[in-house]
Amino acid sequence: MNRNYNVLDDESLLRLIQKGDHNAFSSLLYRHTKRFYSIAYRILSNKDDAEDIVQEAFLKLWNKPDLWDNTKRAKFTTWFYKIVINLCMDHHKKKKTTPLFDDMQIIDSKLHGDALLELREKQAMLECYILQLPERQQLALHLCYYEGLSNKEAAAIIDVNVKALQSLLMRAKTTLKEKISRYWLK
Amino acid sequence: MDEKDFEEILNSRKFEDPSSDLAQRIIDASLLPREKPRFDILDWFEDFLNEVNLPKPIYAVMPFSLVIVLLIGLFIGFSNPVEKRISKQEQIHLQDFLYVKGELP
Repeated sequence: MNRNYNVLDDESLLRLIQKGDHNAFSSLLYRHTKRFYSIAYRILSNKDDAEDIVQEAFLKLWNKPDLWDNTKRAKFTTWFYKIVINLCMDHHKKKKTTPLFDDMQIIDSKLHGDALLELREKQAMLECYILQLPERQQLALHLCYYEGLSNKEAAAIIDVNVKALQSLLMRAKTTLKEKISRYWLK
Repeated sequence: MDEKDFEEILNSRKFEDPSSDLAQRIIDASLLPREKPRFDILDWFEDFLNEVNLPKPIYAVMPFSLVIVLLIGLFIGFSNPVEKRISKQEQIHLQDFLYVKGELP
């Protein structure tokens, strides 16, 4: 029987994956790869590592589909964000590396000279200051600011209430703003 | 620094797009036959903890509880020695068995 997997929601696809349907797995994968790569990249600041983590997370899902508990009525993306974030944190702890700012790619390759240099400096400084934030503040910033998730979903992923999330986000932004301003005044 | 400059700096954060074949690579990897994992005690323990899914405070309390149980066990063990006392009757029988009359010099 030919199914149209694109019309199925994530949770229906997961139920099919639990029955061993590989097409459902492919469909879910194509739907969400970029989203989960994005958060992994934000945390790890490395393309290869982020891709490895996304692969590991999806293979874990394929090999152990029962990890997703259907009875809890959890949203797939919320649950899977947690898995990807945990894998990233484990990876971070094992590797304990900081990104090499000299190797940074430039967003706008048309930039030259001083503008290019200034952009590189801004990117390096920002990355460095974000890494200095406490883990949960970093996560709040990644999820809400860079990934554009709602406060409610981000709070569910970090396992805090919405008020606590707002506080984390505010503290992250305030700290960053202070540090960046101080750096700019130098 | 005003809000606009701050936002601009935040938005200047570096981002690299994923490889275009990432999804296909994962699909290909998922089709490979699964290797039978070697038994690893740490993996087993991790799986066990995931399975049990205890609330986090338990992990802090567990070592203390184990130490207390061990101490109680030691206390009970030492306060009730399992030394069997030999009754007088048994002692006489034993002496009769070991020293048959006339054998000793």
